[in-house]
Amino acid sequence: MKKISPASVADLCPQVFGVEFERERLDVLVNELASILGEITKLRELDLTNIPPVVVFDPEATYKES
Amino acid sequence: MTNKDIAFLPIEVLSTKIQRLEVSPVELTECMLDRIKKYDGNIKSYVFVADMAKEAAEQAQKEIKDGHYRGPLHGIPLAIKDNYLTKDMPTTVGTKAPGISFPLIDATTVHRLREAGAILIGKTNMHEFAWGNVTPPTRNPWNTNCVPGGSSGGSGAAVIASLCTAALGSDTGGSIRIPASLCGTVGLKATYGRVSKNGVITHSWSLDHAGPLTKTVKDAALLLNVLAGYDPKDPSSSTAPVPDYTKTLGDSIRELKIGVCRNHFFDRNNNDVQLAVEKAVDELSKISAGVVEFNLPNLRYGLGAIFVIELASSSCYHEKNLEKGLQRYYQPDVRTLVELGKFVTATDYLKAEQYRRVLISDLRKVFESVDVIVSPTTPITAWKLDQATVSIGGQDESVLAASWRLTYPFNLAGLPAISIPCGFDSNNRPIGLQIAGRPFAEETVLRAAYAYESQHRWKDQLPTL
Repeated sequence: MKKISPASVADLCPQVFGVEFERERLDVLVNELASILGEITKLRELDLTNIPPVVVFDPEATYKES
Repeated sequence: MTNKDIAFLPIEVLSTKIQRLEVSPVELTECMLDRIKKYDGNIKSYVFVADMAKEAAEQAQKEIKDGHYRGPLHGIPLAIKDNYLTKDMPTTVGTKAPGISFPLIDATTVHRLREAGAILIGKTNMHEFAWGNVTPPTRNPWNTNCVPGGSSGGSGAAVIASLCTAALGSDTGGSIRIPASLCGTVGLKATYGRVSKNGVITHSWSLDHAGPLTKTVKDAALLLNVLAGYDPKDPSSSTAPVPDYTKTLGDSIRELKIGVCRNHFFDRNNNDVQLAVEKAVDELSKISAGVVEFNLPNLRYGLGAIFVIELASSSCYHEKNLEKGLQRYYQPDVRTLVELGKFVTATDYLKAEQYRRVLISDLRKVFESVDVIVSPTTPITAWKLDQATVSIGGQDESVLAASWRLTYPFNLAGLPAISIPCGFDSNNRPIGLQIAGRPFAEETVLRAAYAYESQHRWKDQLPTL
């Protein structure tokens, strides 16, 4: 595994995301992300500590496939 | 009856004529293929046309003549969205990116249609990887300067242009119902798990739904009768029994309570849409047990939740393509969305899945006092091909953001929802009415839709090509 030596956030991207983005491409994505982050920030406001996620692990799932 | 006439008939009429040998599957299929040749150069709804469909039609005709009528879909020409795998037609999922290919096998639903005797006449255009509400280069048959909606825009356009009798679509945030609304067809997304997704290329595992776009509500019920049912190849498939969805279609809705969610669904709609849907609600109130109004404040968190789930799921599905750098060949909008999924954190993803439980619980409480929830399908009608924003109530908004606002809540909740035509705006562009119901209450949703449809002639309105 490649050793991480973070010179900058952009340098960390390949390790964090598993995909290498060119610097210009990162700018585009961060810009697009800004508009969506507002909605994600709203979602983070919710206190859902005691609510289980709707996707539930089913240990029998693969046994049902034939 | 001329060839021109049979092209416009719904399955509910054609099936009887085919069974009685008054219309042959061969003449019907040839009629559709001729119309595609004549009109689809302009509409661009198909990406592949199956000339070999004539052979299937001849086979169907022979079977029916020999007394082996399979049922209402026997000999009916249908189109398939290009994200359903098909053994005899290529699948591209709307992408031209090199190095990406899909197997020549039938999706479970496609197999079921073939078994029912349907004639598959081609694959319809879609927004690349089902990521968008526009479907370039397909045009809206009502106004070819306008979009047909998406991502099943090819299916919506082909159905209303009578270039097939009905079509299949898929719906992750509204991709069946949005083109149905913008093109003036019926579009049905059944309960999550009701229709198998095996062989439908994934966009977002827990949000994707497969379903039909049709000319009438009864046609949607006829197709659901064939499409619905348990499939061991789809881990999300339900074992819930499948009723005959046409059986209760004509029953009175006198005992049904109509729910209207006043926030979110009626906050910001185009005036023509608002007026048409309020009129529809008023009409439904007179033939039902009345209207119950309510609010769902937690809907304000829904957009963040569906963004997080769609982005992360899509990015995960495309991960191998991302590693190879193939996304650079995707359309720019799709590339950005697929790459953005990498920025979604695991905690935000799980929070979105927690939120879905809250929304489902809120809706469950609502369904204790109502039987269906009625709203516009889209806050706006079909927009111009090059239009990026729309003004609603004096406020500019992205057309893409506006177009799925009223449909995605039912993907998050996995509930059945249908879009049916309920009028036209001042520019003669169709308006859609959305009716949603409890889990697996497709019969109730279809019954309410049929009751409304029966009082109008919207289904008989067709564009001039």
